[in-house]
Amino acid sequence: MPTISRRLSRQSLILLDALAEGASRWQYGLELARTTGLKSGTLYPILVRLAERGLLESCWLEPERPGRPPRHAYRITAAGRGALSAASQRPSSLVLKGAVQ
Amino acid sequence: MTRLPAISQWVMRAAVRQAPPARHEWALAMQREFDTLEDGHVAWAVGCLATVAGWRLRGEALYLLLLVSALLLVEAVPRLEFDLLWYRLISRSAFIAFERDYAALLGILTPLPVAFLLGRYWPRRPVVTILLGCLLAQHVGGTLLAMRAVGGSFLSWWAPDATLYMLPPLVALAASLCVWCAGISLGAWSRLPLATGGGHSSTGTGRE
Repeated sequence: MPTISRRLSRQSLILLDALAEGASRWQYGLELARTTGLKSGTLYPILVRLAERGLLESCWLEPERPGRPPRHAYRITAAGRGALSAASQRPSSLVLKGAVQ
Repeated sequence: MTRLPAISQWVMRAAVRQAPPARHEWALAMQREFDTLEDGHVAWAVGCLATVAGWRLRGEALYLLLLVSALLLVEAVPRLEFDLLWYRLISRSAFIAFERDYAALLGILTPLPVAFLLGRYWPRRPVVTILLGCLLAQHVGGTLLAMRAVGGSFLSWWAPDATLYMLPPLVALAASLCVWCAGISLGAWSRLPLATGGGHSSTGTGRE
């Protein structure tokens, strides 16, 4: 059962924010890395943690170009949106918007 | 073609190979993104390797804790004689005799049971165990170098007044390495079934 009781880190919030910007669109890891500025060594541990907490969902998508292997893509869940809005209401998270810009 | 792509591909393959089974899908996800990259391969691959190393470290925390504890224990054993002397549980002459004939040998052989247990219960990690275990060898070598050479008959076949303390530190390092390798090999062999017709060896439970 996923749990969202633990507070999210600033980088997790930035990532969730980037996922929320994409609405219900699936986004790839590279795309998220470029949007958030997170390196792979930071991005994937956060993705794993958020997926385990049910704040995002993932799936393997067939590529646009044939002959390429499927890629892992991510999308925010309703629980993720809830966690993001709850975090943005906390005073300490007010800087989040500025950090993402 | 520079060597950089080759290096980054090697790093990326190592990351996927080293990923714990529970995280294999995520490692593949990282690799697929790496495959679509046009540039920045090395940074991406190194980040992935660091991620996998973090996963492995968390999965093997118990093993590392036990190994470090065992090393500390092994370090403590050769010092026991000093404690025994300090608390007057052994006589000064017995202490000197022990120092002269057996202390260095005990220092080198003490890791053997620890290496055996690690080889038996964590057979998939011989390299890490040996490398970490041999850090102790530096201690052994340093001890041999620092302690004064005392007379004794232990190596009388070599020279009339030869003692273990006269050997160069490299010998102690090599001896310690051999002890760790032997202990781990013995431990790994002890896992094998005794009956030859019994099929395959056990699969091991060390990985996450």
